Amino acid sequence: MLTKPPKSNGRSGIRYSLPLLLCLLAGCATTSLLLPYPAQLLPIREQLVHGDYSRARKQLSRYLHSRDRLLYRMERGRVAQLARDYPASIHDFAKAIAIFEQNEEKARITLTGGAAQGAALLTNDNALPYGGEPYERIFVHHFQALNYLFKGDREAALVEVRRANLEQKGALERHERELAEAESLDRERAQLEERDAFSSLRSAAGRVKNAIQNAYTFYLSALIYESAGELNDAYIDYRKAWEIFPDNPYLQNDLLRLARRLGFSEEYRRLREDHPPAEPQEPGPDEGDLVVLLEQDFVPFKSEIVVPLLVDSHMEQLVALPTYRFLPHAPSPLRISLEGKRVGETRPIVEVEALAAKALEERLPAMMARQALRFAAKRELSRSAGKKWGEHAELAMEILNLVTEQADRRSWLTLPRNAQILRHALPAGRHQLHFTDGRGSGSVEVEIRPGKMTLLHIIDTEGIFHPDWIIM
Amino acid sequence: MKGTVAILCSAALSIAILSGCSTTKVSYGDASEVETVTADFGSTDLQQIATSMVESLLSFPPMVEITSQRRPVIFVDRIRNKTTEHIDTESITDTITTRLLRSGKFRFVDMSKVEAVRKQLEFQHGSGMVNPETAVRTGRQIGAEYMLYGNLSSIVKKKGGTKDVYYKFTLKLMNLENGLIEWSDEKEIRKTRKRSLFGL
Repeated sequence: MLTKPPKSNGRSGIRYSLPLLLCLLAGCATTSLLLPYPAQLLPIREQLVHGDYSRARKQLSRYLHSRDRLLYRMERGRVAQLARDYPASIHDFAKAIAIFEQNEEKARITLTGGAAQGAALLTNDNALPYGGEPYERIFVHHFQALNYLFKGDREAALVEVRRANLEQKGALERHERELAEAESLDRERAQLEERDAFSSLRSAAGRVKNAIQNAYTFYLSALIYESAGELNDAYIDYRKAWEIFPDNPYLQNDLLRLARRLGFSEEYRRLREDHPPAEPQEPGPDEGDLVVLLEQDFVPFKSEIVVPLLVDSHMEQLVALPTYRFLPHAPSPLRISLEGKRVGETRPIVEVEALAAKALEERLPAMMARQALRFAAKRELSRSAGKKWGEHAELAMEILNLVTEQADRRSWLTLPRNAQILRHALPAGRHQLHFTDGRGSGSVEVEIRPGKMTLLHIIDTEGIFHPDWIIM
Repeated sequence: MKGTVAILCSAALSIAILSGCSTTKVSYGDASEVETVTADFGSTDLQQIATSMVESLLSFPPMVEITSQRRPVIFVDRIRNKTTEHIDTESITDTITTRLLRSGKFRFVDMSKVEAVRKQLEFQHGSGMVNPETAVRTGRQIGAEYMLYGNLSSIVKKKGGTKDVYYKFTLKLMNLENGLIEWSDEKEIRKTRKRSLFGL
């Protein structure tokens, strides 16, 4: 009895699962279960480049009640931000944050979660609701802080950067525990390291220490603190940003400047030893600071590769897995000039593509383990179909299995590919700034007030610029 | 394996059926009831803070002495929100102000309405539409002697399924004439949320 389960058991399995599978497929044809997510989002990104925000928004709105609503909320919030429609963007990001929080508060084992797991076991990972990556959650808070800042609500912006910082800290701790748990997936990890198919993923992921920490967010938080006159808080965040991304000269200058102003002489001396070049620059009495935050291009999307994977101890099976396949890409600096004279050029502070690649690399071993399990479930299903309804049914199931074998390629795709900063003192007054990144150019009139900071936020989508500025 | 598949499928089906059965219900509750829906800042925290602050201020001996002869005039500055939540701190100060006012010991001026008052006075005196005999006289508003201000900060820790939140609310009363802080108190609140193992 134990070695050979009764036949009726298999029959009941097939009786329930076939209709269920068909239901699932029918309901999901419009979302990412069969149509890969990038195929859905790439046309929308194209519309954004050309400034067709309302159409992009309308298309995304259709999926706000789907299983992947978190993903579509994030995309739509970013689209609204590109259109500089801050209230709409705040609304969408607030919903996204609420979903993140709900997921966090949910019981660890849930019935609905179990059902989705079951569906995922029969089809693919796309059947699981999109839960978001920690780096994405940090960007939601980051963008939300920018939204509040541009609405003139600095206190709310500070709440968001504190949340982002809390998340950076918390995610890092959680992440270390998860990595320790994933130690057991030796076989999967070894396969990930051996296969050439993952080489570009590995090299992109190798550019960052972890998939969470983001110097750009700490920098924004430091800027807001500094503009609020809370120099000590600002110093702490400049320092955290610098620890993550030490090579940015503007960041080095900010750190030195504040260390000197706060009278941290020991720290100042040590920092000067690390970065000998320049004495920190302070704006003069009739000058104000121009701070440029540039968010460039779009983050790469995941592609699918079919690789042979060890499913039992010796049996290899072709399975579909997500990966990143992009060429290493140096951020193109934005050169800024004022009345023909060069002001300076932006320097990178975060490479989102590397964060995304690292996040995927860390997730892959668990995905591979799930694939092996899924393979076993699907094989079982088509065998029992064959037993009950004959060869044709078995063949149909095989085809169905082949069609449903899809990698999970979902990720937030309207995120920038990288972010860069520039900080430069300018005389007070109104100035027409010109900028170019070598692919396109633009200009914007900004106001500089003495002793104040003018924040110029530019979203650069492949050489087309979406600027906005505010005096902080 | 077959068994697992069967169980998974029937579980999924029963959830699909069950989820259709829930209906929406609306009911009234007690506004002062202890609320623990989430570990976020909520009505109970607000009420606890207001109660503790008002009691402390009214029972502070120097304040008892000052208020025994006259009703000092206070203006309320904002409470700075230094937490990781979007909290309407004006609502906390509103509750505190209302309770202090109703104690009959203090009077308040509302700085958030200065602009509206100025507009109304301009209308009464400059528009030519108001009978000058009935127009209120200007330049006779009473200056505040004290300023009430403070901040709300929090420390949040999360580990595994547990979230621990600590709030600290600090309120101070400053004498505007000499800059002395006449009274100050703080209220601490600690909340812990544990994630359950099973649920829908």
